[in-house]
Amino acid sequence: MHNEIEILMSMVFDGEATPAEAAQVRAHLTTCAACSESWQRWQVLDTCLASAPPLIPPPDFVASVMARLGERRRRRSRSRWFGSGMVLASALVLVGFWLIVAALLWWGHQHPLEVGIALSSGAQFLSSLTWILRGLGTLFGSVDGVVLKLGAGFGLSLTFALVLLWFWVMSRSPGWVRMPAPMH
Amino acid sequence: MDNQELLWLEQARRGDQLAFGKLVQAYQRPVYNLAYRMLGNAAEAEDAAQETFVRMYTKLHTYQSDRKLSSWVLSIASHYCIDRLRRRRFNWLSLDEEPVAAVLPSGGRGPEERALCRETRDEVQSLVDRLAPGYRAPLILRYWHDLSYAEIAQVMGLSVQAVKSRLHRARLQLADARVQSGATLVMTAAGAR
Ligand SMILES: [Zn+2]
Repeated sequence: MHNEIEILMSMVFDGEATPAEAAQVRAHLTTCAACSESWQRWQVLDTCLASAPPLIPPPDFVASVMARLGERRRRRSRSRWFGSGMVLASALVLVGFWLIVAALLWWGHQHPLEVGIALSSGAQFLSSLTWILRGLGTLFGSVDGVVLKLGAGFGLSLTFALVLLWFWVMSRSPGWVRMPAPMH
Repeated sequence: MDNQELLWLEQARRGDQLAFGKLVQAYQRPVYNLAYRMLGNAAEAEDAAQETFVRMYTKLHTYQSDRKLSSWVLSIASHYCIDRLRRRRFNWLSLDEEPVAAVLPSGGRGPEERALCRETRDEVQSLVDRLAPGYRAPLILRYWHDLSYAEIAQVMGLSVQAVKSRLHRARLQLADARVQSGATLVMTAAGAR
């Protein structure tokens, strides 16, 4: 009962009670000391809240918003350029990788099975990288752009490093790569 | 919503910066007030209010004209402020544990008025600051934006029933906090003598 009345009391303060509900509250207050005390405390609170004056935004507020908007737009277009550059570079690296593999096959330096394994593990690496990035993106929400860029940069440098390492190993010890028996 | 604002909105959607500036001009006060009451200080309020308008700009195409523009803008602002408060990871509901920082009421007010509402402007804010974000927003929209339950429900994406009960609980908590801070004030005043 007191709880119901309390909710009605709150509605009276908010101007949301019907006249009948307001009358019900008034009737209860004359008989109940506890609710009557709450009513008085809430009345003071109501005065306090209602007397707090509205605040004025700083005079340069509109200009600051427009400046922030401009900055955001510049940053977005920069990151779009950066993103497309990244995609282009990754595509080039991928195409280059395939070309190297094709050339090796052509010259008969590598067993076709080994090339197949290298290709499939390369694809595996790329797809798992995508999943990691997607996961990071959902984890960090608003900073996913940054995470994606860092991730893509990392993936790209790792690919470059691996290709370089591979060339280095090849040049140092040609015997390390098993020469296939000539196919007839 | 008046036709002028609708026109600005249309122009802003087509990339007209000046028109968007007019909308910012028109809504800066309610948004800044909401942010200030939610976050409790001027620096954060200004930052949050600016961010609200940046978000509004990026969401212009999602606005549906069957909704009041003011309600849409306040909705963006209140959700942003609530997120921001939740990131602070403060234990909002510990109302009966730590007392409100004791601040002596400033002079210049008559005893009658003080008996009615002892709190200074800052103290009212420090009371509001103690409410959990989800309870704070309806109270602010009710007292400083004069919104009805139905309007608050629309801004916050709640049912009218939920708004009603949150305002009720906010009152209970604030009244308790006032009594406690009142006790602190009396003790501080006695100790100072
Ligand atoms: Zn009662």
